[in-house]
Amino acid sequence: MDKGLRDRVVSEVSRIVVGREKESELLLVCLLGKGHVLLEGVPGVSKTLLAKTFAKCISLDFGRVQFTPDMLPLDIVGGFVFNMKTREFDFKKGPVFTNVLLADEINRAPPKVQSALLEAMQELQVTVEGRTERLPSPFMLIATQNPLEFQGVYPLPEGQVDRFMVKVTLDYPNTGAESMIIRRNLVDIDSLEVTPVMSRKELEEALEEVEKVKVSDEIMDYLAEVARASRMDVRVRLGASPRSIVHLVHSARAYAYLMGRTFVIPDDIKYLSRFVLAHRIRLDPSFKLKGEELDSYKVIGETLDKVKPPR
Amino acid sequence: MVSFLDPDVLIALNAAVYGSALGGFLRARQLAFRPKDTAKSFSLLERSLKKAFPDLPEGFTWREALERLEGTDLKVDWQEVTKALIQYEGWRYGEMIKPSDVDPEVVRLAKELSRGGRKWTKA
Repeated sequence: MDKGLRDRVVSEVSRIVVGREKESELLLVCLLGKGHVLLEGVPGVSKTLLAKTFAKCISLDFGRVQFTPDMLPLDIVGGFVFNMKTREFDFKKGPVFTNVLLADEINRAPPKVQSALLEAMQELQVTVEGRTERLPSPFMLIATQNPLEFQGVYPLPEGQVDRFMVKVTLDYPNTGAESMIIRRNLVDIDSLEVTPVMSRKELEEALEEVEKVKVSDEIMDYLAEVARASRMDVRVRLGASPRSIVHLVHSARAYAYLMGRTFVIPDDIKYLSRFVLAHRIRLDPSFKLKGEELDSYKVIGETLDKVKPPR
Repeated sequence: MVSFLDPDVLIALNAAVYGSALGGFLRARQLAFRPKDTAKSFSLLERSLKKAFPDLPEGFTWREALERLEGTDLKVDWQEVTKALIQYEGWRYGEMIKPSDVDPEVVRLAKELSRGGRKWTKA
């Protein structure tokens, strides 16, 4: 059980990105839980810098794709290119063939392109014209997006949103952090070298250890009860999916491991629900029209308050 | 004017005296109750918490409850309570062996809460 690993990664990321300790921890939870992350925030709140710095901290291959409205799915997954020498079509791998892929401003691309990532995210493979290629392992997608109210963005399809283990919303930093950002940016931030603090071997060992973290039957029943309660809420149109509960249990194991435990406790579930479940919940708009102050975080919080955890 | 020889008044007086004596006896028994193991210590604490904080949501966890209590002036050793909780969690959710001893600080905390009527002010 390695609390030191968490501290190393978080402090290395903090050397470059100010005030994003919790977000760095969640990125690590996702990596160890074999999930993908969606970072949402207004422009200029260090989404891309956070993703880039995190990827550099761990000794994995890193790729980046800037999503634009004129992209094609082949720009991500790759495609067949005619080889003049062999007179055959060769498969040219796209940028998705890496360990950590930063999909920057994912919602600037049309749904067809966003959907090109569905198979990669769920099955860790891509299929182009009947040919299936496995992605390198581990594979983690870190996508950034601007809030939907912004111009020139397409909403992510529900099926894709559900494939993100965690959604992290980055707010504006507090005053103290903001002055620190200004001070740090007096020097060229890109010239600050990020030191890898986790070797590939260490990561593989950590992934194995996370698999050993115990989730008791009662905790699993509790998770199922939370999911059921989220679907029963009259204010909810789309509740927590079975996949979201699977994601929740995987992230809870990774979190427990990072906290130095060999077992998951109800507090892990409650803490992570906010990041794992809230973005998948679709609320009934009629309740908002009635003037009720409502968001999915509030609904998840209330659901957790109602369901008795094993004590 | 109320006469104390009036049978109705006497019955009411008797009921009040014996009722409070019985209440006191039950309360003393409750306070003297010593759980046999760690699981019983924590179920005693759960009952006391629910009684002391009726607004506590059904979904509360041990850590949330303790966090709420730590800001109060209850006379318990919080370090010992936290240590007992970690051991309890290891057995309850993990694969650790069941702690054999009773957790005295958890029992003390439960009893402090049970005394009731007391104001727990923020430290």
